[in-house]
Amino acid sequence: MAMTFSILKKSFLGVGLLACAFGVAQEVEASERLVMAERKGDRGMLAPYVHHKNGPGYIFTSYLFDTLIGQDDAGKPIPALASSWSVSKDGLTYTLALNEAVTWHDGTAFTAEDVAFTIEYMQKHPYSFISIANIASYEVMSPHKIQVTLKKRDAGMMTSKLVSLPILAKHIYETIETPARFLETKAAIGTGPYKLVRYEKAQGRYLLERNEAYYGGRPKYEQLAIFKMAPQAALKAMTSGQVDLYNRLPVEDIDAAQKAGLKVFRYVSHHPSRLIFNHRGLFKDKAMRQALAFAIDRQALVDIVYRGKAEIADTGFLQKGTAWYSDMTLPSYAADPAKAADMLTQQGWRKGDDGQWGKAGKTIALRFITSKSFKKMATVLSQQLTAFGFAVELRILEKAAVNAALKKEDFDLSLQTSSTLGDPDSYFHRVFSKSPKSDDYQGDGKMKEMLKKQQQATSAAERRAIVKEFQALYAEELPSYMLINPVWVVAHTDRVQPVFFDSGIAFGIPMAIPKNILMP
Amino acid sequence: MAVTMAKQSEQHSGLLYGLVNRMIILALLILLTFLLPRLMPGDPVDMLISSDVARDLSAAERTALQVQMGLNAPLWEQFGGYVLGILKGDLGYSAHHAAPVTSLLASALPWTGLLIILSLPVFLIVGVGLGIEAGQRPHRRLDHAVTGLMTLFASLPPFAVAVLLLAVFGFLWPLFPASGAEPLFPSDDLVTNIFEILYHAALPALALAAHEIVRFYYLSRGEAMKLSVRPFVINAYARGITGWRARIHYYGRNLLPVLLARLSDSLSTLVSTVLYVEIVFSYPGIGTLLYGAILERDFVLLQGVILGLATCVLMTNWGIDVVVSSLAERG
Amino acid sequence: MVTRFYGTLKQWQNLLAGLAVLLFLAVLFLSFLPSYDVGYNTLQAPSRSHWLGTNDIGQDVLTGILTALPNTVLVAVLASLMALFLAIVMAANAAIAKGWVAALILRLVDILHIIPSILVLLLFAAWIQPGFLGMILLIGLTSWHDDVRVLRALILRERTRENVAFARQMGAGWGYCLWRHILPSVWPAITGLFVQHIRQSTMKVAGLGFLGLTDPRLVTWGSMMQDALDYLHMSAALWLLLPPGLCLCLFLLLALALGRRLERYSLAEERDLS
Repeated sequence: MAMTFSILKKSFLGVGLLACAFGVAQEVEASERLVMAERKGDRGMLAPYVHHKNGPGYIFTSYLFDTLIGQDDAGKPIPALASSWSVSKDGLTYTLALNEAVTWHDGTAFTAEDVAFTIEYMQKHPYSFISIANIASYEVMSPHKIQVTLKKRDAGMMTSKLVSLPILAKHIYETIETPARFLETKAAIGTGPYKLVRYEKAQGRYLLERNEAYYGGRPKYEQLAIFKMAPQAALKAMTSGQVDLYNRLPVEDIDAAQKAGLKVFRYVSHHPSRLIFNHRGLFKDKAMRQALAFAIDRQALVDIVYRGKAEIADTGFLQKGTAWYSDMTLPSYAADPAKAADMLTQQGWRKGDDGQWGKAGKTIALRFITSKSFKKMATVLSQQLTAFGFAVELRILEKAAVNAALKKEDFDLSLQTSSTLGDPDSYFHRVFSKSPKSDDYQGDGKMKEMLKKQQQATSAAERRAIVKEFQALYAEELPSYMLINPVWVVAHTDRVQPVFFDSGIAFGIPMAIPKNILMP
Repeated sequence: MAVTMAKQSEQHSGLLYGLVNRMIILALLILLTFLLPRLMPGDPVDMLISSDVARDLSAAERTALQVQMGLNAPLWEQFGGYVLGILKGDLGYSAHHAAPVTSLLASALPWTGLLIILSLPVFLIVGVGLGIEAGQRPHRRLDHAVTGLMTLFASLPPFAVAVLLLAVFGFLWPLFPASGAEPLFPSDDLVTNIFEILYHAALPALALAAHEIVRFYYLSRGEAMKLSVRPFVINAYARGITGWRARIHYYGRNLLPVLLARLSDSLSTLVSTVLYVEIVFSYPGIGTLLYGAILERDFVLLQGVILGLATCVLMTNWGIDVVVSSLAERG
Repeated sequence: MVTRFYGTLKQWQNLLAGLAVLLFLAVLFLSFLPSYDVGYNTLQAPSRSHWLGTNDIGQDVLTGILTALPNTVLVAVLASLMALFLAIVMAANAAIAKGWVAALILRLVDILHIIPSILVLLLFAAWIQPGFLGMILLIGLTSWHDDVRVLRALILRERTRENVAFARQMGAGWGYCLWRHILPSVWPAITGLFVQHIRQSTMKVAGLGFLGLTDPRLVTWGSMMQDALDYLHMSAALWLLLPPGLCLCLFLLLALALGRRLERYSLAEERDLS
């Protein structure tokens, strides 16, 4: 009863709010306002602990929270909250001089104490994107100088950690015991180019305004609004000038957008879908994984599932055109059923009387488990495998159920997709971890050693050489089989120009809407 | 006198019976919403951080998250906390939305309420009006035409009506907005603002009403047919009372208790229809919230929404029952 | 009485024969059905090679409609059969048994009646992602209570008839009486309820499919409509949306017409009996 009552009470408040909701927005001339929209709304409150744990959630929060090191228009590190930095010879000590002009959105001055507090706080309350467990100690040397010491050398400290770690305001967060439940507008006070004005959860709407005191120059638009909209509705709204940018337009709608006179920014996402193997089951051996790769026709996937609007992925994890990719010839596993059959036969597989592959006279069914977002691709793939002669047991489940099946190793094949951008550090997570999005590959340990070695590298060239080896080994070993590298699309008007970094935003988010596009 | 007293107490015990039943349902739902999510496959902690960009959690961090989400206590303790929370008006905290469930419900409920309230006069006026019209003179041409149309309507699932309306009036002939509940930038003028909100709600409310029109049509047609042969109506006709007066005073007034009783029933079906309608029109009400909770496996939100919604429905239709019985008491 | 008895047998035979024919047809139908294959011709408008066009992964819409036919219709029929059976058992118990059993059943029915059934359906569907069998069970188990009160009233009326009383005197058990005397005389009403129930079940199957809460491999008319939602603004909506929508509508109309006819028939029968 109390529950009903409290809900009703809040609802009445809600009704009252409805009437005057977003009224303020009108005060600003449309020409001074940038309106972004995307299909899925509500990325959570825009503060580090409460935004949704995905790329867009992070990016929108990054409009409000600056990091110590920023990214220039090509994605390379540039000074941000830290105006300069130096690294000791042994690569363990980082000395950062902070920009003295920085203030928090509420006017409080930004100091080294805030950075120190952030390190301390994030050790207590882990931040889900960046781990700072490798920081051994820190020392505030002056109000605008701080020294951070690492436990062991980390070649990705700058390009992955310091570029991505949002800095929290000490005077806001020091009294907060459970940041995951800290939802007041105060939680969004940062140092970034925009300030949060209003957030409407149910509608998935954000209203941000220019931070006039921004140390990096005057942000381009007085207001920034972010909405949730279906693509069709968005196209309509863009033609009438209500919306300026639509993030991730479905490829089917490219023609419609161009016909409506909109600009279309199209990029290969480097967020490929890949075939995951159960490395402790049928696909323990490299030869089996390769055989399966030869049985798959990736071009057909591009043609059917993406109607030609995607690229065949590179097999060595890294994708052509990205920051760490080295140009080399890698096996492409072009569809070759005869070769696949040969390899299977060598592994002791035979086709039974029913025309299906098996071992020792018994048909073996491949347990192919994936989530709904891959329904189309899984349908096409399983038809290919069936045509090749595999008995396929396809199950399409809810994400949670897929994760549970992966954990129990109750599968042979699965589909996943993840970014291949970002600092090489991130490969650890995507290849070796137990996470459902990972390959969960161990192999003979050689690949892991390689990645550990690059962490200790002393020069960028040395790192790149190791990553090149990793790339070749990946294509050979196939911890997972990279299938399709889809094209992502941003529709926009003249008022804003999307930009894509070949290393991704921060830790490798493959989106073309970094905060750079909000600056002149 | 004694008879009416007995009748009254019977009615009161009927209401009490209904109330007790509703309490039992709520208790059952509390148990069900507690147990089912915990039987679902998948780990909510995994779901929360299942993003390719999120890093690995250490075992300690994972446990910390579990403690925070209240997932590591013994089952009975979790249940105790759950029930206690509900009694205190706390439906839990949705980790996915990073917001308390009650505030999520509170921000979604007005929108759903708006749709239902807007559809109410539509299906009452159209459904009952047509029903009386057809039932006054059954088996005439009008009756056949309208009943035929209603039969067709009755054979369209609610989501089909919604999709059809959206396809026709949202895209093919875009008279109405295709999604959402408000324009991007509502004006500061209250009147335009209200107009815009109504404009956005029109299509979904119509889709919602379509299904109920049929039910109320059949009901009032049947009742009107019965009334048409009652002496007092025949009498009235003989006295020359026709037109609106006959419709409102002779049919309408006598239909009222039946209609109200049906309204209490309708609340359940309205709720299920509104779910489809909101999903089709991406309208930010309870349905969309519930659907999102299911897709995201947001257990806390799922159980909260179902409990909250069930409470609202059960209490409201009990309230209607009370009104109906007090109307009946007055005669 | 003899004719009545033969009447029952015949009715059951009819029903069973009907079901057998239906199952046989379904099997025959499925074995002749072309497989629902993907192809390079995606989102093609209806043409001579694809009468109803193709969907976004090149599957033939007509084949989809036919594949979905048993998954929608048969599921609804079997779920209703199950619900009806449960309802008869419950109603018989509520009518014949006295005391707390009857009270319990009636209270249960009242309770189930006021729960917004969609909530329960959603909760369970989200949990088990039902396939063909799961759907039958789920819908059967969550809808049996609809018919209990009507059936109970009918059985109560019938049990006072002299043939039942006579049979009881001769030492017949209630089960026998129910089977031989009571059910046959309320048979038309039962078939009427059955057909109405099929309509409700079809709506539920389609609805769950539309929400995507069924096993994604199970093609239903509802799920086909859901897949069409992404193309609502394109001309493809025409051949992706209308065929499953019309099929649903047509089937529901058919069931309605059949129900009406049965109702009329049962009224006529009542008149004959009295």
